[in-house]
Amino acid sequence: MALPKLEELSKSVAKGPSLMTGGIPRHDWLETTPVFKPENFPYPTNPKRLEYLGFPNPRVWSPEDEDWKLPENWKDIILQGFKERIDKFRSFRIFMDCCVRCGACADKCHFFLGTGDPKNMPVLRAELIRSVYRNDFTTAGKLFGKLSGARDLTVDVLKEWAQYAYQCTECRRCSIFCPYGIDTCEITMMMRELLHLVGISINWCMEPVSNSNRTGNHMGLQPHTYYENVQYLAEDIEEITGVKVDVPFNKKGADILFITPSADVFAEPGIYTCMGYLILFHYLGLNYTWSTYASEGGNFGLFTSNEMMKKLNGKMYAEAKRLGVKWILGGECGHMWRVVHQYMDTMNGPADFLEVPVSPITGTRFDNAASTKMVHISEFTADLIKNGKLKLDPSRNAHRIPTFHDSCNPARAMGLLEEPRYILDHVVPKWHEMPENTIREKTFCCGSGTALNTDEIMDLRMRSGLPRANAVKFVQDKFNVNMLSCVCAIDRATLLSLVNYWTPGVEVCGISELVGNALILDGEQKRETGLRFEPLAGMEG
Amino acid sequence: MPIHLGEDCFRPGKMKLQKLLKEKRSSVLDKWVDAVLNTYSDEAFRIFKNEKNQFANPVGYRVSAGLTALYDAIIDREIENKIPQLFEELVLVRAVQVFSPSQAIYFVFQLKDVVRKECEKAGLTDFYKDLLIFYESIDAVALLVFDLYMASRDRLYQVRMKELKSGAHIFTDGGCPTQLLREYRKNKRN
Repeated sequence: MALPKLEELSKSVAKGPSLMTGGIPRHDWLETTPVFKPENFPYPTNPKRLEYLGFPNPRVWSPEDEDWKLPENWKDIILQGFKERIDKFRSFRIFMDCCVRCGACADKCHFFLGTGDPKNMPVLRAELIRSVYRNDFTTAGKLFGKLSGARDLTVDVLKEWAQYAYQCTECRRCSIFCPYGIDTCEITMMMRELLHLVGISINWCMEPVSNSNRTGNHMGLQPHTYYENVQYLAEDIEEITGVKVDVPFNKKGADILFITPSADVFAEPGIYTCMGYLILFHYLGLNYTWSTYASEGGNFGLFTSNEMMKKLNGKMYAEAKRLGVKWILGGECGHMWRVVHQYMDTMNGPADFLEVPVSPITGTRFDNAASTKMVHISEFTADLIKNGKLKLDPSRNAHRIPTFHDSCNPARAMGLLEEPRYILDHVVPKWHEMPENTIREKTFCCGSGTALNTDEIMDLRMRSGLPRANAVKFVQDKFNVNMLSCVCAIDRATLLSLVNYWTPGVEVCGISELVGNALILDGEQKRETGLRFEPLAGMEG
Repeated sequence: MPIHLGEDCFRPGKMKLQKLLKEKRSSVLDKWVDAVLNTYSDEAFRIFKNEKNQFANPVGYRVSAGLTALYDAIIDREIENKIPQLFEELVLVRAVQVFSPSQAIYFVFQLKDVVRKECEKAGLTDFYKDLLIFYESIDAVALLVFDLYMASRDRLYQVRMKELKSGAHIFTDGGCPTQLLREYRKNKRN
């Protein structure tokens, strides 16, 4: 290999195909061939999972292969699926038609900001599919072809859809800057749905979907395992506080059904958040129940297809009906709340068989959940604090200096902005906000949502998480922040890796863990450690 | 790792070049930052260059702040004692972006080119010795960047390993979560 000249070296990245994403184009973007390398695309789905779910074209394939083993009539399938969707979903057709390419979204995507790849600008990512829409479904496209930004659907175009549909976490940050309110997330959702029609999908998404369909949760935990895991956490609570907490399961006639992501029951640091829930419910003497059937708040159907989303969401309400509860209390989950708030009503709702949620402790009626009958644990807790129902000792969190990451879906899809902050104000001595343009509705995604939290694309995840990490770094340097709190299970899993790379020394927790640490239980022993068995401030010796 | 820039390098008052580097600081930095941002796509260059809010533009900010910190640390010989944090943060970014290792750390050598052109522009013609010494110091910094780059990659592998060990892979790879939780609790107590 000849040594490159200095000038060439500085240019080669911009002008040559990139090593990892293949996404930075040498040619006009319409003509680029996507390049797949190890670590730039998640592993494809295990065919057994697709067979089990009844999804089309299960097979062993690799994105690096030239031949993706598509069905012979793949193009007809995609175009037919496209037509069905623009006829069925008016929003999709409008999003295809109304973009004026003003560029307001261009620099708002964390994938673009971290990679510099223009096809990660939301507008250009959408153009990947819009160009085919123009070609096959508009008069201008049929008449003027390429001049009108239209292009024929080829295998390369399809591969490019796959590449960029899985470089979008459907976080919807771009949509709040769009003057037309185009929800680029829904465009990604449609791209993924269409890709599913010909058997292009990723394992990290479809295995949890398959597991949820089988045992009710992402991990594939069976009822006895799920039950046992929560009991373990109750034992830990007893060791730390000296108080034995009850964990009611599948209790018919309970007032409230509690549903949370299964990661809270199994994965660190979610288990500490779960311990926080258990402590709170014990403190209140709540007449509630867990369920081994509705054992998952997360709904990877949202990242798969609207039918699958509906099916997985349905089990929560079916279980609420079976147990005869009045309403549902939801844990610190991210996208579950988007499904519930934005789609559930027209999929499985309205849930008329349940009651409008009323807190049995404070009497507060949650009219915001009048239709879905499902209340967020932060809304529930903030209301308790507001009404003076919780005895709290914030000094037990004195060893934590948190900041708060607004998880995308609770923030942007349900407007949960104040409640977690209000809780933080009362359970920790002090906490600090990240800069204004990185929080609340403008929050930056963790970079690994929508089933992209898999380790084989760790480089990509670090790039897409940079904007979030950059803001964490700022508060770490300025205020010695050492805890990144959030209200989403995917966040709790993925932010941990993000901070381990960008801001070592910062840990990740759910808000309810901090509540559990601060809550003073009747008859408790002197607490020397937090819920992680870590020594409290002043107890280090 | 502290580095040594060489006896004659940047001794105050000794080099014409050092005077020039101080006088032309903003011009040199501006060109250097441009050269580095030019390693991204044209569309990215425009945004990374022009957006001044560091939270709306983390890559542009880290390139600009990292290079400035490095430049000052070289001129003032501070880099012999302490590696500027902002500069380390820039290497962390380059280490996970779509570059080969040589492309990722090439930005150090781009300073040579920028400085040589600046000297020519200023009419410095008998400066070859100064320039050689300066180039040597850039080479020393390049070795340092090589270490930082590898440390960044190593950190990335550790992150990946830690995530695997945490049991998150059970999401897709089967296994018994309860068994893991048992082991985890046992370890936590020990």
